[in-house]
Amino acid sequence: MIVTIARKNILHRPLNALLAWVLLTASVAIISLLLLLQGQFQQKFEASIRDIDLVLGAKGSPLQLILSSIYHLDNPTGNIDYVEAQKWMKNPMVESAIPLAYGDSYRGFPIVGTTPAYLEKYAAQVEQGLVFQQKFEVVVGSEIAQKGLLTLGQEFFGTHGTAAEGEEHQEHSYRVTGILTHTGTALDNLMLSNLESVWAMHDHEEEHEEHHTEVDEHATNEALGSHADETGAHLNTETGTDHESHQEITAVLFKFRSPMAVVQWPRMLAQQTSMQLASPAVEVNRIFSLFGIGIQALIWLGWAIMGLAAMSVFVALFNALKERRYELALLRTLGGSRAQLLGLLLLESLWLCTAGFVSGILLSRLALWFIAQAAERTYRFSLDQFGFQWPGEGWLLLLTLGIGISAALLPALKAYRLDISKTLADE
Amino acid sequence: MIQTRQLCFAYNAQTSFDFPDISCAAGETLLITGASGTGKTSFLHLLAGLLPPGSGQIVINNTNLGQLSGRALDRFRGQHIGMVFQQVHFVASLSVLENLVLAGWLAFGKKDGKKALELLGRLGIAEQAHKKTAQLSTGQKQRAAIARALINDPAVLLTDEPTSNLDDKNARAVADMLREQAHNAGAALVIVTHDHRLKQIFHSCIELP
Repeated sequence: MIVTIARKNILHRPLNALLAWVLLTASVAIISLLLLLQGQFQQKFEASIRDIDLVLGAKGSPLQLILSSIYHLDNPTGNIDYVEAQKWMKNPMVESAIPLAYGDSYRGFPIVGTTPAYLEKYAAQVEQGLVFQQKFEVVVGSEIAQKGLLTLGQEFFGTHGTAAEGEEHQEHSYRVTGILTHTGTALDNLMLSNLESVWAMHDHEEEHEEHHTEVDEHATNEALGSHADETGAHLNTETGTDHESHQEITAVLFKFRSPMAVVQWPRMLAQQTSMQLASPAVEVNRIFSLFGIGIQALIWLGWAIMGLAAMSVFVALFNALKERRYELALLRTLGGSRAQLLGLLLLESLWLCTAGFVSGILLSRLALWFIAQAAERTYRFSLDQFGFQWPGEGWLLLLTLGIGISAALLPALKAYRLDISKTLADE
Repeated sequence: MIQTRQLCFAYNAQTSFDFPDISCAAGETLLITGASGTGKTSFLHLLAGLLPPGSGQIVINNTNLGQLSGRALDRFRGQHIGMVFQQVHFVASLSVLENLVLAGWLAFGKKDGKKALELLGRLGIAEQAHKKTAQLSTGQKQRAAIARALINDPAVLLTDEPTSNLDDKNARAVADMLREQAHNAGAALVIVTHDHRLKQIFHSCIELP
């Protein structure tokens, strides 16, 4: 009955309730959305760098190297010589070294030449079909398959570089031999082949282009220039003239037996070669510290709005208390106890806060759904909209209820201590 | 049903009251009159257990109010004392019927909608049962307040200035209604008032000095 009165009392002053509810909803939604985004980004980013100590690649921005070779969110820094890279890959301190060679893409999804060890690294299984063995065989990440872009056994032409509208390689077609299980990592949005596929595809193109060079050097240079603009992943940049050492790759993912190597190798490599080693852990931290400031600021904003919500609940209850003094005294003359009055006011506030929490959580899921649509389109980044961000949102619930209780505490105590006789005599 | 003995009450050293002993049996009516400042309202609040007396005792239904405290006193008040005030008030967010049911629930922990409707019918406002109390006319509000005071079959019905704001005709009607309803319910009716018109209706009267 007290619960019913509490609910009816809230609805009896709809404007006060609306203000408090809107503020609570907004603050819970903002905080919960940020918790969700932060949690999921972090999870995604950290899942992808599991067991990768260092990444070898062409000189350039280490952040770009990590973003391109691990997350496939940026263009590669350039290419490195496979023979030279192998000198380092065969070092006894290395536990595993996985080469990655970028070449073509299909509808914007990169086709990466690598070894089956890459699949093992992300614990990806071939769900249907077989892993790539021959040239031009590819296995397809789960999200590409799920979107129905490619099916098992389908043949298709790759597009040069990573731009979706690049020039098609009509000479050879790829064939889908397998589809991978879902891993929740960057792998889900990749197509994988062996290294030879990438080399073969571009050797051919090289001949093609050299032939052109003899005929019209100027035009080809222009064409190459535009390729280079389109993509840094282009395997046949102007440097790629030596036919013998033509086996180029884009990056190598290293895992070491000894942590010493992680410390020493980057400097050694920088001194002895024209390549660089970048640490995924360091770069991911850098990313988080960059957009972490923004997220932190927004979370503070969320808390500020929650503070306003608490104040509005307090003011609503406190103001209502003035007009309701008589009503509360009346409940006492009808046999109600002090504890029941205390409970009534606490419940009114808790009703509001619970309603605000529930609608805030729903709103954050709705917002995340919209963000997920956009992220999916722009970054091929899938977000889980229905998970509960534990323990962050658990704390948020406790905090919301805590705010409900503390906002009602003073009015509730006033109701508890209400002097019935004086109130009734004062009418 | 209700008796007092040597009741005193003091707000402070300057303002203190000694009240005459009263006694009112079930079904009877006692009028307590007095000019302003003679402690009428204080006396009523003492009778209802809303104020603790300085000394003396109040016995309702063979229970000495002085022996009850806190929750027990609240409960006793709900179960044995009905009150009607000059300004009638309700829980504004509830309907008339819900207000009556609430009074029953607060006293006995039970919701009895049927009894509440029956009582509203007896007072002639059954059609208003589902309206919010703010939608009632003054007369209807007063009836609803009397119905609420009677819902728990109280031993004592305490009323504070029930007729002071009414014209002669309505004052008479309300007084008759109070007497009739209290009589039917077997409650002792105590009316505290400065309204002299009521002296012509009720003959058992105590004037506060």
